[in-house]
Amino acid sequence: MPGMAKMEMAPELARVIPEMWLAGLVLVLFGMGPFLPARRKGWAWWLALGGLLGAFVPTLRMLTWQPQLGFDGAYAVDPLGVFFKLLLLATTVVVLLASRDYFRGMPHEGDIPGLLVLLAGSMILLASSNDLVLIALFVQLVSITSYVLVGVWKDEPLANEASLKFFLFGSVSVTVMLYGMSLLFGATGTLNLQEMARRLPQADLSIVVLGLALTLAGYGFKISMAPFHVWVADTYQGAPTPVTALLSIGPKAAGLAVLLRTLAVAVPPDETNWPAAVAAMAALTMTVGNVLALRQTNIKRLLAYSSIGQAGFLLMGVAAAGRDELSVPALLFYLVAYLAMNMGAFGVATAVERGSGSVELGGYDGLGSRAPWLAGTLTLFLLSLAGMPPLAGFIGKTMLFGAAMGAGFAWLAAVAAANSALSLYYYLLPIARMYLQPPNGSMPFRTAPALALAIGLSVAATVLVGVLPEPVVSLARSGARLFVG
Amino acid sequence: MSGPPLQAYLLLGAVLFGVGLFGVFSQRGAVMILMSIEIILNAALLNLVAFWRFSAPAEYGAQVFFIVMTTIGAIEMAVGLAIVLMGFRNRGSQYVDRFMDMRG
Amino acid sequence: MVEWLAFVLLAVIAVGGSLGMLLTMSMYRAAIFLMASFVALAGLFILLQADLLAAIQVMMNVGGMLVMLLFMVALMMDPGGEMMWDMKRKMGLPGFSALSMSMPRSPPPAEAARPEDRPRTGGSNTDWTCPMHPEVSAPGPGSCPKCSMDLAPRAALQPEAAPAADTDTDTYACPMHPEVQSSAPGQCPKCGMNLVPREAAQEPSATTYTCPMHPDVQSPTPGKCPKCGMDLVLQAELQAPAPAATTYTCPMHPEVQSSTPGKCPKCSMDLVPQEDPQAVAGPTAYTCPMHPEVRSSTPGKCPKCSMDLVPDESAAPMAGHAGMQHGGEGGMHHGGDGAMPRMSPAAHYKMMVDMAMSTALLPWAIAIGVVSALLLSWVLLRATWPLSPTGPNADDVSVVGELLLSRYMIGFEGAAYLILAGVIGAVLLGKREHRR
Repeated sequence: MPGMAKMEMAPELARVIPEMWLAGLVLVLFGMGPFLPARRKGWAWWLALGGLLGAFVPTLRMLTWQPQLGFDGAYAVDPLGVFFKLLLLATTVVVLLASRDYFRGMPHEGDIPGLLVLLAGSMILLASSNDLVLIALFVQLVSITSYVLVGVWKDEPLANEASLKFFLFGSVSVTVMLYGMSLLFGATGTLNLQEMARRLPQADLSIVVLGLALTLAGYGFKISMAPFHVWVADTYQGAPTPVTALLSIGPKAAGLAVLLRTLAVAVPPDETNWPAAVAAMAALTMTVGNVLALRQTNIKRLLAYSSIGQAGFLLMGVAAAGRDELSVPALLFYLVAYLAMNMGAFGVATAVERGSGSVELGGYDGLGSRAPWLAGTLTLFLLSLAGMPPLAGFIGKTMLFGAAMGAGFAWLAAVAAANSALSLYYYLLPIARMYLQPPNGSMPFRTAPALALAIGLSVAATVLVGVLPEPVVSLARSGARLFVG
Repeated sequence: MSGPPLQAYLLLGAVLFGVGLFGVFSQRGAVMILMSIEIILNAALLNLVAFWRFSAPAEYGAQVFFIVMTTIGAIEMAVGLAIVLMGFRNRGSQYVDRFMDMRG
Repeated sequence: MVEWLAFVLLAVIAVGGSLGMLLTMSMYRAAIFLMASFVALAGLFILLQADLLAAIQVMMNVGGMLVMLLFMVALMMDPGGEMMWDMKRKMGLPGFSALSMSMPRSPPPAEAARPEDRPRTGGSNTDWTCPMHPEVSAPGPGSCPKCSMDLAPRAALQPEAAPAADTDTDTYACPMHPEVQSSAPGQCPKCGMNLVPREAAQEPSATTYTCPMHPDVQSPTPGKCPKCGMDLVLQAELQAPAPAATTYTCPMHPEVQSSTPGKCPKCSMDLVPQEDPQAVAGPTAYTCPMHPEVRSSTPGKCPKCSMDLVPDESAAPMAGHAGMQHGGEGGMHHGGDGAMPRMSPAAHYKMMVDMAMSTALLPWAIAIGVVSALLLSWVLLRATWPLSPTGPNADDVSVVGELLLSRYMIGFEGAAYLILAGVIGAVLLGKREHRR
C-alpha cells in the first residue's frame, strides 16, 4: 500500500533469528563444501550439524512468546511455527547423521550438507508463512531443493527417472496452485490470510472454493494427498535412501502446516465446509496408501505407500481442526511420533542397503540372526507405524481417533481403524521374514556410527514417547496456538 | 473504462490454462511438457495482473507476487532442463515413455 | 474501441501461439510460437496498465525461449520437422501434414524388444563390490566397509565369477565379450552394448542382430554396434554375406574403393563390403525417405539426415499407416502388407515411434484441456467480481521497491535463495561427471 508506515527493522529481525541463522549457515556451507578436499568433506557435515543444533537455541526461546505477526502480517511467529521449527530442525539433524556415511565418496558430497540445510530452512519458512506470496515462494523453494537432492546420484538410472518424474509432476502441481492463488487474490483482493478471512463474506464463494481447490493441488503434492500422491512411490524408490527419509517427513510436515494455516485462518469452516472435504481426502489418501502397499516387495516402495497412508491419518487431524479443539495437538503429537518411527525405519533400510546392497524384502530374510540389532529396531518401528501399544504410534493414533470422533467424523475414524487393521499385513510381513526365514547371506553388517546414532535416537524417541507421552503432549498443546487474528 | 472488462481477460486465462493442461498430458518430450507448464504459468500471471488492475489496484503486493511467480517459472525451467539433460545423458532420450522402469 | 481491437488481436496471438507450439512438428517454429504468445501477453499487461510487469515478462521469457530452443536442438533427432513433413507427404498420410503426429496405437511386434525393455530383476541396482572383498555388495560407489577401498562395478572386476546368485538366467553377459558378466542388466563396460541373459548371448538364433558394417558383431537384442555406432539389424535381412569380402565401396560412389571399412571421402556414408558390381542397383536397394537420391545395398543411415534407410518401395504409399493421423485413430498394419518387404515391422515401428511427438494419451489430453477450460470459463464468467472504482495511480516502481524492503523482505531474500538453489541445482545436475 503506498504511503505505508515505515517498518521498524530491529523487532522484525528479532522475530526471524533462527531463519537468518540458517540462511547464513547455508551460504557458508555452499561456499566451503564443494571446495574442501575429499578427505576433509566431513568438516562440512560437522559444520552443518553444529549449525543446526545451534539453531535450536533461539528457537527454544521463542516457545514462550505470544503469537504475533511479523513483516506487516506476512509472516507468523506463533507457537505453531515454533513447533514446526523444532520438528523440522530435528528431522534434518537426524537425516544428516543418517546420511553422512551414505554419501561418502560420491560426487557432490560437499554440496549435500548445504542442500540439506537449505531444505530445512525453506521448510521452516514455509510453515510460518502467512501470505500467499511467501507460501508460493517457499513451496517452490522446498520443491526445487528436493528435486536436486533426489537427482544428486547422477549415475543411477532409477534416480534419474525418479527426479524427472518428481520434477514434472511437482512443477505441474505448483503451477496449478499458482493459478488457484491468483483466483483467491481475485476473489478477495488481498494476499494476506487474515485479511482474506475478513473479506470472505463479501467475496464470491464459488471462486474461493475453486481457488482453494486448485491451491490444494500444490499443497496436496507436498503432503502426498491423493490424488496427488502418484509421484511418491517412484521418487522414494529411486532417490538415495536418506533423501527419501527426509522427503517422507519434512515437506509433508511443512505442507500440513501451511494447509492448516490456510484453512484455519483464511477460510472460516462454517461457510465452506472444508472439514468435510478434507475428511474425504483423508479417507481416500489412507485407503489408497494402504491398499497399494500390500503388494510391494521393495522396502522403499513399501515405506513410500506406508507414508501415504500415514499422510491420510495426519489429514484426519487437519479435517478435525475446524471443529475440535484437541485435533491440532493430536496432529502435532502424531507428527513427532511419525518423525521418530519413519526416520528409524528408513535408517534401518539405509543400513541394510549399505550392508547388503539389497532394497528388496528378500534382503531382509533372516535378518534376525544376521543383524539382530537392526532387525529388532526395525520391528519396533514397524510395530509403532502399525499402531501397537505401548509405542508412540499407538498414542498418536488414539489421539487422532479421538479428535475425529470429537469433530463428528465417526465415519472417518472407522475408516482409519479399518486401514490400521489392513496395514498390519504389510507392517508385519517384513518382521516375519526377518525372523522366520533363513538368511540368504552370512556377511555381518557394519553400520556407520552416525547412522547407528540416528537409529538409536529414533528408537529412544519411539519408545519413550509411547511410554511417557506427557511431555510431548504438552509441547503439542502449547504449539497448537496459531495466530488466527 | 471502455476497454475489455475483467471477464474477457479471465476467459483468456482459462483458455490458456486449458491449452497448457492439454500440452502437459499430450506431449512426449520432457522439454515440451516444461513449456506447457510455462503456458499455465502465463495464465496465472494474466489472471493476477487483471485482478490487480480491476479489483485491487492499490494492492501492489500483486506486482511482487508477479515477480515471485516469474522467478518461480524461470528457476523451474533452469532446473528442469538440467534434469532433462541429465536424463538424456543416461538414456539417450528426453521422451518420457523411455523413463518407465519403475512401475506399480 | 481501439482497446478491444488490441485485446482481441493479442488474445488470438496468445492462444494461437500456445496451440501452435504444441501442434507444430518443427522445434524452431515451436519456440517462435511460444515467444509470440509470451510477447502477446506482455502486450496485454501494457493494456492493463502494468508496464513494469510487461517489461519483466518480455525480458525473462525471451531469454528462456532461446534456452529452450537450444535444448530442443540438442535433444531431438528432427528439430526442424522437415523430415516428418516430407515423410508424411510422400506416404500420403491423411491429416494435416504440418501438425505433429500421434504415436502409433497398436503395440510393437513381439520381436521388437526395445533395448530399454530390460528384464526386470528385483532392485535392478548395479552391483558394486570391493576388489579385496567380493562378498561386499552395494548399489553404488562408495567405500568398502571392511577395508575402505573404493568400490568398483562387479562386472569390471570379476569377469569369471557370477555373484552369489542362483541360476544362469540371472547372469547377464555381453554378446561381444562373454567374459563380462553381471548379475543385473546394464551396459558392457568394454563396448557399451546391452548385456543379455547368458544363455541368450551364447546361441545364435533367428533373431540375431548384427551390424551391417561389422558382421562379426552379434547380439540377440537390437542396439548399437560398439564399433561404429550403427543400429544393429536382423541378420536375416542383410543381403551382404559379410565376413569374406575385403573390398569396401561407397553405395553412392562405386568408384570409391577401400580395403578397410570407413567413410566415403565424397559423401561420408559408411563404406560397405562390395560383393558384386550390381549391389547398388539390386532389388534390395535401400533409400532414404527424405532423400531418394541416396541409395545403398544395406540398411544404415542416410548421410544427409541420419534417418534409417528404408527399402526402396515402388509400391503404393502406405495407406495402412493410419495410426499417425492427427487425432490418433486406427492402428498400424504391420508386416502383412507386402509393400515394405524388407524393413522389418520392428524397425519401422521404432522409426515411427522415434518421430512421434505426442503420447498415446492424446484423446485424454484433449478432453482434459477442453473440459478444464470450459469449466473454468463457466465459473469465472458467472461469478461476481469486486471491482475497484478507481484505477491504479501511484508510481509503480517505487511502491514495489518499498514493499520488497518491508512487508516482503522475507520474499526478497527467499527469491534470492530460490535463484541460488536453482543455479546450484542446475549446475550440479547438468554438469558432466568425469570418471576417475
